[in-house]
Amino acid sequence: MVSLSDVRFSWASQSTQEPAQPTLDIESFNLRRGERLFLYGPSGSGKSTLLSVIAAILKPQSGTIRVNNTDIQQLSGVASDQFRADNIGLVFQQFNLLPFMSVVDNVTLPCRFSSVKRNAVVSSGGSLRSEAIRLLEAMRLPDSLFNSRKTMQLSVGQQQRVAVARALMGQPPLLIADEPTSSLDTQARVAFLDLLFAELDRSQSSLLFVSHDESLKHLFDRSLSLAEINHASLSVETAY
Amino acid sequence: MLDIAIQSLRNRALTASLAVIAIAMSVALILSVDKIRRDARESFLQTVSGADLIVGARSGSVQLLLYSVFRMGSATNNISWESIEDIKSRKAVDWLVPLSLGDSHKGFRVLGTSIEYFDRYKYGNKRSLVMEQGEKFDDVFDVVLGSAVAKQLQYGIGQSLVVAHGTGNVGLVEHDNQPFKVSGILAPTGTPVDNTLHVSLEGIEAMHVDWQSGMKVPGEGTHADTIRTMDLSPNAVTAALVGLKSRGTVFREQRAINTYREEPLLAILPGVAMTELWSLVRVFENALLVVSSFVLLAGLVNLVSVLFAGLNERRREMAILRASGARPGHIFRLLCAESALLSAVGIVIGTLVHYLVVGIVSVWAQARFGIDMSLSLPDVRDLMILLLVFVAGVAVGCLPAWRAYRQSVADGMAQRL
Repeated sequence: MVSLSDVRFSWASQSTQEPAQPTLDIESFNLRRGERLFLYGPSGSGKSTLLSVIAAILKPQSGTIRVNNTDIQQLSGVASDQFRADNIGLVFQQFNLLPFMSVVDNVTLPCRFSSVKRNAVVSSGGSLRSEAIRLLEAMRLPDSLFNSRKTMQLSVGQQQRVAVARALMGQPPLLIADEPTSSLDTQARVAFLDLLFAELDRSQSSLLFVSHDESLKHLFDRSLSLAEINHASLSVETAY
Repeated sequence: MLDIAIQSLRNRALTASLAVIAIAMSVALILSVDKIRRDARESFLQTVSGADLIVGARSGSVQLLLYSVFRMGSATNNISWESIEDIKSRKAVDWLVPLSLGDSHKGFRVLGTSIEYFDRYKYGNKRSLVMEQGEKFDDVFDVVLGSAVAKQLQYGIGQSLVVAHGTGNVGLVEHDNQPFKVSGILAPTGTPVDNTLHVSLEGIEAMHVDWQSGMKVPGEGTHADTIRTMDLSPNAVTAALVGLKSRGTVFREQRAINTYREEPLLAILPGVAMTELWSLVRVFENALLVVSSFVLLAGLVNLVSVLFAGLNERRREMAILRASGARPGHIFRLLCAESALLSAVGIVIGTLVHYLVVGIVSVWAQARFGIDMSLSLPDVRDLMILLLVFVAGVAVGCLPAWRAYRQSVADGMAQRL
């Protein structure tokens, strides 16, 4: 699903001509189709930078990155935006929802920007709304919330589950979650992961789950310490 | 994009309505100022709309217009009554109203004229003078007041007054032995008629009975009843309004009068001279335009500041949109859609406010200034103004949109909070 080889990325070299210490220096990294990978490392180890590189937001100075059989290094700015919209679902640590839209509209949002995701929903025989409601129900959200516009009044756990429903909308091949559980308490984390995994079974998406909290790693197919694969010095402060 | 913009704006109803109010105020003001400017101009240009020609002693056309219509300055010379009779008897001439000026009452000019004046004088869109109270002059000593004269001097019907020779306000000898009486008061017109006292030509002659070469003859003075029995036909008048049977002959008649052999005369077309005179006050007209442009500018600045102010707190929103697959171009379009929406709503509200204001003000302007402000559908010029406001609104909305675009490119999907 995702494969990186000899990827080097450094922040400083984008603004100055001097060769800087790379933030990322990864000889090889692979994520198989349908695999659930737990990636951990302390803050500053380049986790967010790696995610940005895989999501085609940042372009590394050298190396090859393939996501879903596409060499995203070769994509133009607009094409990489479209590629991301079509192939990747994203969940952030917090504040995932647009405050002015209803919960259902928040979930269907990606289908506005990706015809691939939209078609995936339609070809599976449903309307955008019914698919959104199915996902929200799968996330165990009470249906009284579905049309609520007060997304900021949802609990953090509820917000994160809405965010997962949105990321899974249109069944993207890759789901990237950047510390989605760090604002949840321990019980809620496990419950959250249970719901996420149940839905992944259905969509067959690969999951790249990033966290600094290693206590969750036994729940995943495989876990990886970023420090093991990233040869860049940890002393370099990342901008992220 | 539009529905996201609507939802987002609804969420920020307060700040959004501030921007809308700013735009609406600008639009209402621009439309209203422009309307007043045009209606005032129209009112001015149609101060005399009934007459085809104005005839006076030979001078400049603007000067003739100023003293005959606006009662400003004084005539260089008079027209003899014979010439008036000659012109009146021309085949093409339908009617002629003589005007005799040169006397005043407490700073207001006195106009001697024929009774026909009240029917022939037209202003605005061929509107006639209307008697608000009382009757037209009938007796030699009857006087009909313009509305402003009656209001300022607080004169009613039957009020007696004396007329001074000359046109100043103080220190003039008064024709105090021939008291005039108010017989009627005219409705407001918004023309110099409002500031005029109207008497018959005989009345003008009557007040000068005891005068010779501008000096008062010593003695008791002639009694009013004696004067009434005297022959009071005028020897000369100051100017005349002329109506033709057919407008097509206007240039021929003008030339004929201008080349009149007995006396050097000047005939002018009121509309042409009026336009010439209006060009003098164009500076004022332009000043109004400048003021309204600044109001629009202020409204646009307000729109930009509202959009910019929201931008930083909305960075998270942008990041969420980006994470959901929105491209920077989408963000740009979203913000543009927002400013377009705000401008459009502002324009609609502003136009409504404009009509409301005109509807209210027109009643008052008609009563007070006689400016004819009619409610009319927006014409091409109004639509151009509205289009300009809309384009300007969208254009300035592009500034914050561009900034958001740059931010969303730089931020990527990171949530910088």
